[in-house]
Order: sequence, then structure tokens, then C-alpha cells
Amino acid sequence: MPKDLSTHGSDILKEKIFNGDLPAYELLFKQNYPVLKKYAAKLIRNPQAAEEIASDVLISIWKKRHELPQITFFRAYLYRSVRNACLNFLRAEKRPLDEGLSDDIADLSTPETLLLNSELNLRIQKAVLGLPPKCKACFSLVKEEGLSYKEAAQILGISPKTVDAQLIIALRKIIDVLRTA
Amino acid sequence: MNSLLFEELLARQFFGTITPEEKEQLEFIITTDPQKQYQYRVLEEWMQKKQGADTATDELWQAHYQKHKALFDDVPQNRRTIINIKYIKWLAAAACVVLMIGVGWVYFTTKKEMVFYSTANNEQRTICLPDNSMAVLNANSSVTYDAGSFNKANRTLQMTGEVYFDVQKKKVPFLVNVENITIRVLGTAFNVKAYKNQKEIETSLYRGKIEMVLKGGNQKTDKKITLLPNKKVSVLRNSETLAETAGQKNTDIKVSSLTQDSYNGKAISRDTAWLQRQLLLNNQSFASFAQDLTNRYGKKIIIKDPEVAAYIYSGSIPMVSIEKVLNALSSIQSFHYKIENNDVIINK
Repeated sequence: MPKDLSTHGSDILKEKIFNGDLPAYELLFKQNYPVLKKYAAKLIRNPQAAEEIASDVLISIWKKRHELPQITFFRAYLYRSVRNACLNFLRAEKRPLDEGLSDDIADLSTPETLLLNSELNLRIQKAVLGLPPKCKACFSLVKEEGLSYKEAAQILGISPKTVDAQLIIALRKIIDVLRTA
Repeated sequence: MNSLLFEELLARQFFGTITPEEKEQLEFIITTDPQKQYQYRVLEEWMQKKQGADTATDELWQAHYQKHKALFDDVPQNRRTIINIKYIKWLAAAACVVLMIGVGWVYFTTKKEMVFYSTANNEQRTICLPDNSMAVLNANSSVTYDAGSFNKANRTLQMTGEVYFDVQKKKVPFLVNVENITIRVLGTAFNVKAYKNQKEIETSLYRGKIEMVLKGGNQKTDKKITLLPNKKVSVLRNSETLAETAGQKNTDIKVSSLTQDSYNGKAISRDTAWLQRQLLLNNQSFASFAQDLTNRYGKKIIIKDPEVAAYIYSGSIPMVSIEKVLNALSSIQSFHYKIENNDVIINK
């Protein structure tokens, strides 16, 4: 099966970082820091701690760069590391995990987005927020982060088939909302 | 058409796994059912609102770089530098000045500047020493040297745990001190395994030649061993008996040949499989390699069932988490395990 460009690109990056190439690491940082930070912020709802988690995960790649050949799904590995760090963070704060999508909550409340979003979009977003946790986790990774089924499966420790099934459940709930419109 | 299929088709369409046949099917549904067409359009518009993939700014990178600067400074040798020929004279002149200052510096400052590297449970770390030699630390290991004199007056370091060295050839001998043993080399690759909870200190040589000195209190009782490639020396950890038996027939020191196994088509030794994060087993009983797991993960392995302790394993297992390793082992020959704080209790 041909690899898609993004994963192939990260293979080259991985090899360069393995060889201690600092500019390659800089590129990795610049490409991934914002998305990882955003993902962490969604899970823990603490922007400062999210910055720290994203930064720590990336520096651990540099620290453990001689182990990089063992990591097959690089992007998924980054997300999973962030996710685990977030789970630890929440455990320490004795808070339950909320499967992200908190950006959408912010969207719901600002007047501009109220104007921009049709009544229907609001309904969809509410439906998404009401999804069961596992379903939401899959939806967040695939729709919001633009990851593949395989990557989402790796991150959540479930099979790609389960991701597929969860996404179908999500769409069914959303379509239900549209139907009653 | 049933509506379950419609949702499945939508999921595949939006998440990019749709096949041409499925796409045709979806288009058929959309064109024949106005309500579904409407649902599709609304969803399509909404799905397209993805977050923009922004990249981090230089300021963010600089902040990150400054915060972890120490980690970026020990980048190993393979950094490429391109020097413009035009400036080479100036560079040479500058180098001379730097050299002179440097020589003076070494003469006049003999300050100790100890550098310490260590690893935690299940951590591996590669460090580049000031002389460009490489040291790979296995889990729960450490290397200490004096940066003030290393690669200047000497190349001496102390270690604990397990470390693989690949030493650059230089006139100054490279000395590794581990407990009562000094290993003296010029340019070679070798592995030293000296975890405190093991009876023996094992040194395996892959290239070149090394000389080991077992200190026995004074020069007379010191014992020297020269090791040739693909040989391993195991020294029993007991300095007193060493001192007594030095010079006589010594049963505390064993020399054996390294066993080669193949992994991914390449021949590797069981003693350095850890570099590839592999646990390589060749007809070994569970009891015999349980210690390796303890060294790696910092958890004591207690095998309660003698039958399980005698299980024989062959093959290679990636050393990821201790759970994964134990799961792999128990899937080959069944046993149950329980992890309690720092103990792993194994039952049939």
C-alpha cells in the first residue's frame, strides 16, 4: 500500500532526528507544537499546562531519538503521548476526562459565531457535544485533527474497525438532529 | 435504500476511505432522495470547517530551544558543517589563537567539572563523550567523568549499570572504572554489564583489544586480563577472594565466546540486543532472564511456581513496557502475573 505523503515526510524527519539533526527537530517542533498544544488544551482545559505537555512530549522525542526507529506511527505516537500526559494530569487533579471538542463550546458562545453559524450548525455541534465519550474521542481525532482511522486507533488503543463503527454512530446521531429540523 | 448504509457511506466519504463503487452509490442516493441530499450538503459544509494547520512561530521555537539548550549541545558528531574556502585562512588563524588560549587554559586550570549522565527505568540514552566516543546507557545506569580533564589529560570515566561503548581511536588510553575493575582500551567497541544485583560483572568485546585490571589492593595483587574480540569476561563480584587468589588458579574469572544470533537478518549478540531494545532469548529459562527484566524495569520478578521458572524461551521480544513483555511471554507458555508496586508476582 502506498504511504500517503504526510507519513512519508515524517519518516524522513524521523531518520534525520535519529541522526541528531537539529534543524529537522526544529521543523518537527514547528509543525506539531500548535496542534499538540491545542489537542492537550481540549482534553485538560488548561492552556498553560497544555503548552507544557506539548513541549515535554516533543523534547522527549529529542531525548529518546535513538529509539525512533522503533516507532512506526510517528504522528499517532505524538498524539498518544500527549493524551497519556493529559490523562496523568487529570488524574493528579482528580478530574474526569472529557473527550475534548471544548473549542466548539467556545464557538457556541461568541456572538460572531452565532451569526456565522446557522441554526443547523448549532444543532450539529450540540449533537457532537452530546456524543458518548469513545465516540467523541474518535470524532475529535479524525474530524478535528484530520488523522486517519489507523492513527486514531493507535492513539486510543482500539482497532480501526472500532473507530469506523464509532464514527458511523456519530454521523447517525448528527443526522438524527438534521431529520428533526 | 436503508438509512444505515447512507450513514456508513457518509462516514467513508467524509473521512476519506470511500471506494469508487461506494461513491457511486452515495451519489445515487443523493440525487434520488432530496431530504438526504439536504442532509449531505449541510454535513459537507460543516465537515469542511477544519482547524487550520498553523505552524509554531520562531519565538516559540527559540523559547523551547533555550529551555532545553543543554540537550541540544550534546549532539553527536554527524553534524555537517560547510566551510567557505575564502575564509579558511582566517579560520586557521582564529583556530591557532583559540588553540593557544586552550592550551594555556588546560595548563592553568585544573578545576574539576564532573559530568553525570544517568537513566531511569526502561530508559535508554546515547551520549557523545568529549572525545567523540559514544556511550549508550541501558536502563538504570550512569556514567560520570570530569569534563575538566576528559579528552585533555585523560579519558577516564566511572560507570554503573550497563553501558555500551564505541571508543574513538586516540593515543590517550580510554579507561572505564567499574567497582574494582579498570578497563583500558585504545579504540574499540565493548559492552559492560555491572548491575549491582548481579553476581558477576560482564565485559564483552566486539572490536579491537581491551585490557582489564582487577585491583587487588596493591600492585602485586592486581590481576591483568587481555580480551580479544567476540569474547566475554565474567568476573565474580567479590574483591577479597580476588585479592587472595590473584596469581593462582582463579575460578572467579570466566572467559567465554560471545553467542551470535540473528535479528532482522543481522547478526547481533545477545549481550547487545538491548541496544535495539530487544530481549534476545536462546533456549533460556524464565528464571535465567528474569534478572534482565528487573534491571530494565526496576521491578523485582518473583516466580512463585517452579514449573514457570523452568519455562524455556527462544526468540526476540521488543522491550516496550513490562506488561507487553510479560503478555508476550505468557502467550507463548501460559502463566499469570500481578504487578504490585515494585514487585511482579508470577503464578501458574
